[in-house]
Amino acid sequence: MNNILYKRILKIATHVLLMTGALLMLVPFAWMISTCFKDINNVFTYPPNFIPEKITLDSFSRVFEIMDFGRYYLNNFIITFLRMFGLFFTATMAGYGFGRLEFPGKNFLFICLLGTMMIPIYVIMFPSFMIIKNFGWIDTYQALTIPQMLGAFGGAFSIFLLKQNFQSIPRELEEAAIIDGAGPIRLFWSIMLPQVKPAFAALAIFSFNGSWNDFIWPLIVTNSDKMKMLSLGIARFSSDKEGLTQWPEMMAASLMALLPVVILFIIAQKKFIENASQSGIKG
Amino acid sequence: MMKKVVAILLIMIMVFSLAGCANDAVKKDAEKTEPVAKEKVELTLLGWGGAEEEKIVNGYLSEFQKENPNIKVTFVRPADYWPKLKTMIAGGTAPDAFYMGFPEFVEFQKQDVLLNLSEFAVDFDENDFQEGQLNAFRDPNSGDLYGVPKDWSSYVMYYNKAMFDEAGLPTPNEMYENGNWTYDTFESTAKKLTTAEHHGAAINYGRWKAFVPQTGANWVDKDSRKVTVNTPEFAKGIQYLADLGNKSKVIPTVDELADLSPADRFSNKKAAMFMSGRWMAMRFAELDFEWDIAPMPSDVTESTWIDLVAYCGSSDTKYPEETWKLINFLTGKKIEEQVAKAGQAIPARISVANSPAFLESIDVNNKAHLEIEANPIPVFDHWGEVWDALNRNLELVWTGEDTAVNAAKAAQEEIDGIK
Amino acid sequence: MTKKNIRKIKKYFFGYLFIAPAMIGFFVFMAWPMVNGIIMSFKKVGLKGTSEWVGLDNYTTLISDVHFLKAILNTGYYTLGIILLGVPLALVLAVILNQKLRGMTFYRLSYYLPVITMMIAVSVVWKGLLSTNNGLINYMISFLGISNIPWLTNPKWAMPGLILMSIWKGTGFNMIVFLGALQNIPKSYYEAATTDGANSLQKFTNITLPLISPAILFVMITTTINSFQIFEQAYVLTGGGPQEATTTIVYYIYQNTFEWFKPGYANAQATILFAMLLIITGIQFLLQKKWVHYE
Repeated sequence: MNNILYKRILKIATHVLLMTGALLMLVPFAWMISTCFKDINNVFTYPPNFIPEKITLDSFSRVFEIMDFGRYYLNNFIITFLRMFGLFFTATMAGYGFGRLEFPGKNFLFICLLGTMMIPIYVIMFPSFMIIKNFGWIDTYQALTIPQMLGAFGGAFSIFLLKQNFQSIPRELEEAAIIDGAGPIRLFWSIMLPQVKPAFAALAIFSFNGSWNDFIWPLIVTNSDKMKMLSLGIARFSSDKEGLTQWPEMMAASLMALLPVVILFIIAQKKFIENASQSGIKG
Repeated sequence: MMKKVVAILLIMIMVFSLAGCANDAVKKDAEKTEPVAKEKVELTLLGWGGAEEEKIVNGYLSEFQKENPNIKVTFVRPADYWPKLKTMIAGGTAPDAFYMGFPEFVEFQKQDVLLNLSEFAVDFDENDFQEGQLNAFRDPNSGDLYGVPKDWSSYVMYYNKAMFDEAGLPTPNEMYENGNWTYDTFESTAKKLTTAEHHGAAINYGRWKAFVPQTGANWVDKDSRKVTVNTPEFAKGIQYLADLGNKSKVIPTVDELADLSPADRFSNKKAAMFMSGRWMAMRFAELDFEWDIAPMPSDVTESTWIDLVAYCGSSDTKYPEETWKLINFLTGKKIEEQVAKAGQAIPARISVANSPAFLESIDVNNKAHLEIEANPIPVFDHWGEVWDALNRNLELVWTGEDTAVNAAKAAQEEIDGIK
Repeated sequence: MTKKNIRKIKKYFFGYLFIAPAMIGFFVFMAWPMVNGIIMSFKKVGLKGTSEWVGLDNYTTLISDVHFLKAILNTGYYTLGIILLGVPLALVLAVILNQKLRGMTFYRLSYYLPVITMMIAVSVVWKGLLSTNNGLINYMISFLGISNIPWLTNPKWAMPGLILMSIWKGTGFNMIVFLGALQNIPKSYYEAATTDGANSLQKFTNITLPLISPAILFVMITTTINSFQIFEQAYVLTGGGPQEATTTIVYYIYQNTFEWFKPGYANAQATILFAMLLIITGIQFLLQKKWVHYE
C-alpha cells in the first residue's frame, strides 16, 4: 500500500516539477506576445499583467514604419531558400564522396572539414569580409548565399550527418547497381541518394533554422538597408542612440521574426528533436 | 525522377531570377530620366539619423538629381555608422560622400582617406561659415579644407509647456530671461514637477559632458589638448547630475532609464523636461502636447555642448568633381534653409541660421540654440579610448556606488596610462 | 598507363568531383580566410587598407592588455556558469523525462522551443524580463523574498543575467541529446541490476552515467566551444558592459575589428581564441579515455 502511494506521490511531484519548468520556458514568450498588444505606458505595470486592458495592434504597423521590415522578411525567405537549395546538393555530394568513394587524402580532407566546425566565424570575420570585397560581392545576394550554399559557415555538420547515413547503406545494394550497369552519377542520384531520404528532413530543418536566424554574417557583408536580414532588423532597435525602449514595437518585430520557425517547429517537431537526439548517440 | 529534376531546376531558375530582379531593383530604385549626353554617374552618400531624417535627405537628393540628371545619388544609412564607414574604406568600397563628426575628422584626415575639397571649392563663400567650424575640418598643416560643415547642434532643455502651466510655474525661458536659470533653480523646478506620475526631468547620464563646463571645469586644454578631469570643478558637475537622480530623485535612475528612455519619457509625459540636441525636434513634431526649448541652466558660467557635422569626400572616389557638386549642393543656402525648416539641425551657414528659415522654422524658441556661445570641444588624442575610460569610470557615480571625486581620480589615472 | 591505373584515376576523379563544391566552400571561405587572418595578426592595418609587418607586436601588446584579460575572464566565468549549472540541469531533466509520461510531447516542445529561436529576438525579450524594477524575473523571485536585482545595470549581476538567459535558451538541446542517449540504454541492464539488489543511486552511477558518457562528452565539448563564442547576447543586452562585465572575447574582437578598426590586433585575439579552443577541446578529447565508456 505504502509503495503504491509513494509511487503516486512521486509521479505527481514529477509532473509538478516538469510543469513548472515548462512554464518557465514559456513565460518569456508569453510576455513577448502580451507586450506586442500593449500601449507603451502599460508595458511595465506593477504587478505585471499578461492580459492588456486595451489591446492595440499599433505596434505591428509601427514596426513597418520604423524600418523596411517587409524587405527584411523577403530577404530572409529568398536567402534561406537559396542556401537550403545549394546546401542540399553540396552536402549530399560531399557526404557521398566521403562516405562511399575512395581517393587519396580523403581522411585528411574530411578531418579538415570537421575542423571547420570548430572555427568560430568570429575568428575569420575580417578576412572573410576582405574575400567578399575582392569578389565585389559586398551588399549582394551572392555574398549572403554562395558561401553557405557551398557548405561554409555551418555546412560541415550536415556533411558529417550525410556521410554517416551514406556509410550505413549495405554494400550489396551498391554492387547490384553496378552490375546492372549504373555509372557513377546515376549510382549516386538514383540509387544511393534515395537511401538517405530519412536524413533530408533533418538537413532541411537544420539549414532552415541556421539560415533564418543568421545575424553575424549579414552584419559583416551588408551595408544598405535593402539587403538586411531579419535579425539585423531587430538589432536596429538597439542602435538607436536615444534608447532601446520601444517595447511593443520590439516585441512585435520579434514575434513576427520568430513565427516561421516556430510554426515549422510545431509541425515537424519530431524531426527537430530527432536531430538533437541523434547527435548524442553518434557523438 | 526526371520530372523531379526538372521541377527543381525550374524552381531554381525562378528563385534566381527573383533574386536577380530584386538585386537589380535595389540598384534601380530611382526612376531613370531621359538619356543625356553626359556620362552617367552614380554616387553613394553615407549618413546616419532616424527614419524621418532619411526621408528628408532623400528629398534633397531628388532635388539634386533634378538639377543634375546624369548624377544619381544613393543614401545609405547603416545601423552602425562608424564601423561601417571604416570597413567600407578599408575594403575599397568607400562611399563618395559621407557625414563626418568633428572629433572623428582628425583621425580620418591623418590617414589620408579624405578628399581635398580646396581644389574644387572655387566660388565657395567661406565667410558664411563660422571660422571655428570651418577650421575644425582643415588640414592642420596646409590649411586645406577637407570637409564642409553641414550643420551643428547645441544641447538645450526641452520642456512640456502644459505641465509648467498646470503647476503654475515660470517656464525655463522666462527664468533664463530673468537670469534665474541656474543649477540650483533647475533642481528646485524639477523637484516641484516631480510627482508619482512623472519626473521633473529625464536626462541621459551618458551626456554628462553637457554638465561640466558650467561648473568651471575646463577639462581639455585648448592648446596642449591635455585631458584633466581630477579637478573639483569637474567632480562638482558630475556629482550634480548624479545627485539629481540618486539624492533629490528628480530624474530617473539608470535602472529606470533601461525601461523607458529619456526621450520616450518626455514623449509619454513621464518627464517635464528633457535634455538633448536639435535633432529631437523632428521626432517631437508629432507630440500631442505643447513643448518648447530653453538654453541650458548655468552655474559658475554659461555653456552647452556643441555637436558639429560636416560632409567629407573620399580620396578614393571615382568622381571627385561630382562629389564636390553634391557636397556644395547639400551645404548650399537652399538646402540649408530646408534643413532649418525641418528642425533637423542648426544650419552651418551663418546667414541661414540667423534668418527666419531657422528662427521661425518650428513654433518654439529656436534662438535658445544660439543664446549660449560655445565652441566644439578641442579634439584630443586617443579620443575613443579616453571617452571609453571616462564613461566606464563614471558609471559607478550614476548608480550611486562611488563619488564623482573618486571616479574622476580613477579615470585620470587610466587616461594618463593610455599610450 | 595500365588499364588498372586508368580505372583508379577515373575512380579518384569522381571522388574529388563529388566533394568539389564542399571543398571550394571550405578553401575559399574558411581555410583561406583563416590563414589570412593569422597572417594579418602579424600586421598593423591602416584605414586605407595599407598594412605593415609588425611581427609579434600585436601579441605582446595583448598580453598586457587589461581589457583582453578581462574578456578572457568574463568568457571563462560564463563558460563555467553554463557547464556547472546548465549541463547538470539538462541531465536531470532528461532523466526525469525518460519515463512513460502523459504530456510528453508538450514537455519536449516547451523545453526545446527556446533552442530554435533567433538569439537576437530572444535577447531583446530578455532585456525586458531582466528589468530591475519591472521585469518578470525580479517579480518571480520576489516571491522567494529576494529584493530586486539590478541585472543589467550592475557589473556583479550582468553576467549572471546572461548566464540565466543562455541556460534558458540552450538547456533544451542538451536535454534532448541526453534523452536520446538514455533511451538507448537497454532496459535489461537495469533489470539485471535490480535483481542484483542495486538501488537507484547505484544504478545511476554504475549503469546510466558510463553508458551515456559519450553524450556527456559531446555536450561538454559543444557547450564549451559555443560558450567561448558568445556575442549576440552581449551585443543586444549590455553592449559589453556595465563596466566591461559582459565583454566576452568575441565581443572584444568585434569592437577591435569594427568599432576601433584595428583588424591586425583583432586577428591576433581571434588567433589566440582559436588556439584556446583547440587546446581545451584537445584536453577534453584526451581525458575521455579516463571516463568515457564506448560500447
